[in-house]
Amino acid sequence: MTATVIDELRRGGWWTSSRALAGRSIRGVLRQPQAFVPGLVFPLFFTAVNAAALDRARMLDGFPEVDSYLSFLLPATLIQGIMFSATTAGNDVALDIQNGFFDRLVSSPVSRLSLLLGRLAGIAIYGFGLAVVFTALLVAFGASVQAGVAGVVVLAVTSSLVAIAIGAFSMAIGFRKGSVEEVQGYFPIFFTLVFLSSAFFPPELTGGWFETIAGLNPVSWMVNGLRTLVIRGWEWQGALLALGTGAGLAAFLVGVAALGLRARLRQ
Amino acid sequence: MTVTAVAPVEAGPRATGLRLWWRSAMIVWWRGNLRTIRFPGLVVSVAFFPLFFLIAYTGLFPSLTDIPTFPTDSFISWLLPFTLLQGAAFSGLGAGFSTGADIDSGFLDRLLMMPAHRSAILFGTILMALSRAIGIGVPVFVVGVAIGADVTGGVLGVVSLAVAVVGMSVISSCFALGVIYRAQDQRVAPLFQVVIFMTLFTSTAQVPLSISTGWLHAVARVNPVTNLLELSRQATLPDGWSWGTTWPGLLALAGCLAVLGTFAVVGLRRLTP
Repeated sequence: MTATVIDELRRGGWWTSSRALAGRSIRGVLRQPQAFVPGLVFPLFFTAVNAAALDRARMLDGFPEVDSYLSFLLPATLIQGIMFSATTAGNDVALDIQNGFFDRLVSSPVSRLSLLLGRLAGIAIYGFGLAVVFTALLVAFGASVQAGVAGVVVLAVTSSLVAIAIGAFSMAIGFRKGSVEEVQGYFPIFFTLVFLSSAFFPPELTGGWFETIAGLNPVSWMVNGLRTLVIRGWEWQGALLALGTGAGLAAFLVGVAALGLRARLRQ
Repeated sequence: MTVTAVAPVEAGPRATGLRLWWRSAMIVWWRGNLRTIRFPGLVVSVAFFPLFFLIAYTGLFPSLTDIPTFPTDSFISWLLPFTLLQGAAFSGLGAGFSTGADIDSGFLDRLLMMPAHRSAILFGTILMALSRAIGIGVPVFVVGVAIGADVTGGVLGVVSLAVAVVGMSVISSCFALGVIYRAQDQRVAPLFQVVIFMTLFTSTAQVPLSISTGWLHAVARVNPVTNLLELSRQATLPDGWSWGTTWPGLLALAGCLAVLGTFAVVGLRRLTP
């Protein structure tokens, strides 16, 4: 696979090299079940457990009107799934650095931009696909998306943006540290961000410090926007909130990854 | 570390029988403790999830106690015993990880050559996991009480909680060791986490049986972790301690110990250097 990619890179410009590296990134994920299976199993398992454990919480005063807890959890399930999978981008960068493939890429006439964009494009496609599959699965088990097809598209695009954001952050760590263990060591950050948000329960029912932190957490903004589309129906405000937050995070973290790449290239 | 850990057996007066077994077990145990001290990251990773869930869930779900039939009005009192059992379960997984590393490095082969009975290796490793469980459990308990958990079960309630924590650590150690002795490959380690997470969370971890619905209710009813949680929650729930809640927990514990203990012992017996 590696030799074919380098041959392909030699023939084209940044677009060709980005496309080749995106393909390599997707193939890399699909060839390592241990990299993507936890991203499928854990979020679905926790969603199944939470939906059954917390369904009666819908009776509480102030809980948003929703036909099932599964629908309430749909945005959280997507973000959790991506959180588990998107860090593979950083792992792969670190692995490429460790096994010398990164040096071969750098010494070949490949566009520097494509070193970043190729892998991020791969993870964005994966995020989009994961969102579609998870939404279909949850709908099959009783969830519903009130905003219809347009709502599903926003869910999938936002998931793609989240995948880019998390992938870019993990790549930044990969570029700077060059170690898979170090990339994995940052995983609890995403875990914490998702749990300290409105992903699993309405923060307005929690009160205290949790409501304050969840209100400041951009994951909550994104989840709230998506949840509007899932449980209420199409609302431009919800769609723009989710897409805008996702795009903002992705843009910022791609910038951080670009700085990481520049630092690595200087070494 | 290896040389330091093995040297006392060779250098000390020649021990035989039970004394040799005990000294060998203590060496395995002490070596595990040295590893914990030298790699504090091991403790941090084991302590992270219990502490995180304790703080995050306490902030996230306090209003669940408003649901009719919830047995307490303090969610942290409900959650703290689960957090301690979770920490104990992860300490047992640590025993599996450590043994996996010893298999890869070849050190387990050297341990198998010890003149003492092999069960000393199993006992020492379980003891090491137990030390980690207690080392993590005590501070988590103190933090839990400091941030509002009630200790309503008196001495017997706290003893029940301690028994459940120790039992969970031993059970999860036996499970992880049984798997790693058979697979003899570190790459099975993620399997430990998947099985433990699934077993813990399909019990009454988050809400009582009277509130859980559907498939979770059915699974939680037969999951022995539910009985262990009931045993441990006698320390913090308003109903306090009773024999009627204690004996099912002890029975579940004994059953799991018998099955998983046998699983680990047979795995170790079949292990060849």
